[in-house]
Amino acid sequence: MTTNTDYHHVFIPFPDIFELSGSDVFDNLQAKPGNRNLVVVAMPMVNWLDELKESHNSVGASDTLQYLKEAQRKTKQKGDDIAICSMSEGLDIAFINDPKLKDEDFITPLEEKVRSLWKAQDSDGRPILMTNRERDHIRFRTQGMRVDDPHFLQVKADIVDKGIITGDHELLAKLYESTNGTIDLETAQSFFEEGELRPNQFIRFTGDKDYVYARVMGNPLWNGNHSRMTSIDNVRVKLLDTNEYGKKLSIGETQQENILGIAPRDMEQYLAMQYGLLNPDVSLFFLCGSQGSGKTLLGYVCAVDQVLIYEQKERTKRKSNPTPGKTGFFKQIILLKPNEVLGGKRRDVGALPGTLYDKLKPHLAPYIDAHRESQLGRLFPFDEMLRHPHFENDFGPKRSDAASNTKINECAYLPKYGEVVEMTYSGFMRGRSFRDSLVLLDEAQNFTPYEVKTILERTGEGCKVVVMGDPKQVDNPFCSREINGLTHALQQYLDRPYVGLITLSRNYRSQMSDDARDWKVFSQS
Amino acid sequence: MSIEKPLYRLLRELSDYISNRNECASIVGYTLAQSILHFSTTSGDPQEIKFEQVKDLYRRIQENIDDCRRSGSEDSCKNPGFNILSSLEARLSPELKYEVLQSYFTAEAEPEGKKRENRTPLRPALVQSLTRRTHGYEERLRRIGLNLIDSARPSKPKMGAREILTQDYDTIAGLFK
Repeated sequence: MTTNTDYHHVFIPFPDIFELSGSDVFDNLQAKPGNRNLVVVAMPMVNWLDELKESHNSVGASDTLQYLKEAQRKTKQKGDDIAICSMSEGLDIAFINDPKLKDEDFITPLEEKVRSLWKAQDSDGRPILMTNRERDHIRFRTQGMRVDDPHFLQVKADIVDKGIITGDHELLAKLYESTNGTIDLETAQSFFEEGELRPNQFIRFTGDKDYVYARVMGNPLWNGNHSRMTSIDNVRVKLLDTNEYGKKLSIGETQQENILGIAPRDMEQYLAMQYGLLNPDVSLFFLCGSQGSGKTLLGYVCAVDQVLIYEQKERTKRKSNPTPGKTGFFKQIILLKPNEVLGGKRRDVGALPGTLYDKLKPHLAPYIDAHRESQLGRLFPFDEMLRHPHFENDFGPKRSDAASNTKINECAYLPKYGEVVEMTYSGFMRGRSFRDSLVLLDEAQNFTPYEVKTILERTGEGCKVVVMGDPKQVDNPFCSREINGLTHALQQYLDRPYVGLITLSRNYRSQMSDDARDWKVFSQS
Repeated sequence: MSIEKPLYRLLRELSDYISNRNECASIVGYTLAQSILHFSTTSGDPQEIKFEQVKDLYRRIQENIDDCRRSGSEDSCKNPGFNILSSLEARLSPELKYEVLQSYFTAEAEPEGKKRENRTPLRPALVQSLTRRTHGYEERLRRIGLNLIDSARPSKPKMGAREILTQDYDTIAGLFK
């Protein structure tokens, strides 16, 4: 078989890249118009992907295998152990099934073979091995090979700091001089870098006596049946009303100091609750912050408050939403955590002993703590939230009548049509679809970008997704500070009119907890 | 030469008093800008200039910590971070605005009678990073502060003073790359 030698780049992506981004990797490795790139897929890599799919429930690997199966229909050249498929003007895929390439340690012979078959036009003509794993970078670079990071997947971790930005005194003076403390976006934009302001963002100023906040806001425009926000009109910057600094929360016509006993402790928590978690116009809300900043507690109580069944009179007051067709309330909470935290290293939960609740209990601890801290903790235990009101489920017998009939907040009850909280994980997402649900996507930094993409694809009408995480706390070996589901989703969605972001910058941990950061786990001698 | 508290330790101590990360980052950003803009030394050795610059930043952060400590003992002040930030802003804003405007319209010219060596090499890098627009340097200083807090590394045992100063200088210089 004669091989084509005019490829601009020749890539050998490792399976970890597919785990992170699924078949989107191929789109990203396409050459610009006028050039053509080649992506090499060797059989041991396919086996590796298959193992990831089977034993680790990897959605990225599964999607890639499906894509490769389809790709083989586009074969344009076939030899004894090589098939080349033309995917687009800018991309070919070469399948190599050389029996000499064993599953163990096949990269070095593969690189040699690829180098002998195709000479890339770029600088040194060698194929580019692409992986996010430091170990492989060190190992193969030492052998003189060319190894690169998947730059197309990297997002700067400081994207989480764009929710509340700092404004200058001149802008603040302009806002004070304006009618109703409001100025148009164009005027405000001139005080920042191009594109730095976007709807649902906040600007913090140093005022005379304390910080002053302004909000970038607009009038949402909806489609015919009010199921989708299509754009946002009349975008402007408006100072918060002075009474908002009292941190009282408004839901419809009601004003309350706390949600289920949890009150915002600072302005950032207030903004997160009022304009993110409880805001029906924000259907995708990113709540970031370090451990101890309160994101789980706020996320949990605001979510539960929005699934409770309030008495008619109260419901009318709370539902007075200006957007017709949008109630802002949900049937159920879907709690999603990465596979890592559900039973160890990307294992199925079956690997742990006991009932499903026993297995998941250690990983639900932050929610159990949040439940106990809230008003609900004095009424019934957390496991009642996972139980069905009428039937036995995986978490135990039906919900107790006492819990179902307990009056919460003097005028609300747990919903009687199903579990309040449904716990699931990304391995079980395929084929599912949520409606009228509030999805809490916790520890999003430990999801791969592809997993978060899959989850967000599942959201149906009437859903709200709260994505929580901290890019500094990555435990998933496939992810890093720059490549993870949280920062990727932020980059993809941040400019959309229905999206909000707050990073809670104050942590409420103890001094002891803070000092643990300085704990040097090595000998001082 | 001994270093009592390197950058990492000072930043940690400051954030113990000012637990709001954004507030702390703005203070660090302003303090760094102040240190770079006001810095001058009689030393002509480039290495010494770098070390003096880092020590000047240590001193200014330590002053912030002392201010926090003082205001913590006075019941009248509930938010030391806000007070420090307001005072830094008030002192530095006109100067920053002047520097930014100056470099916006003209190439940075050396003032007469002032030796080039007296300035820190970080100065042009800082001014350049603030001059993408005449406005909005407050946000950039917050970002610089956040990056500095995140990138400062603890010193290792047996690390000498010169090594610590070099490490901290490299961290600061890395902010403007």
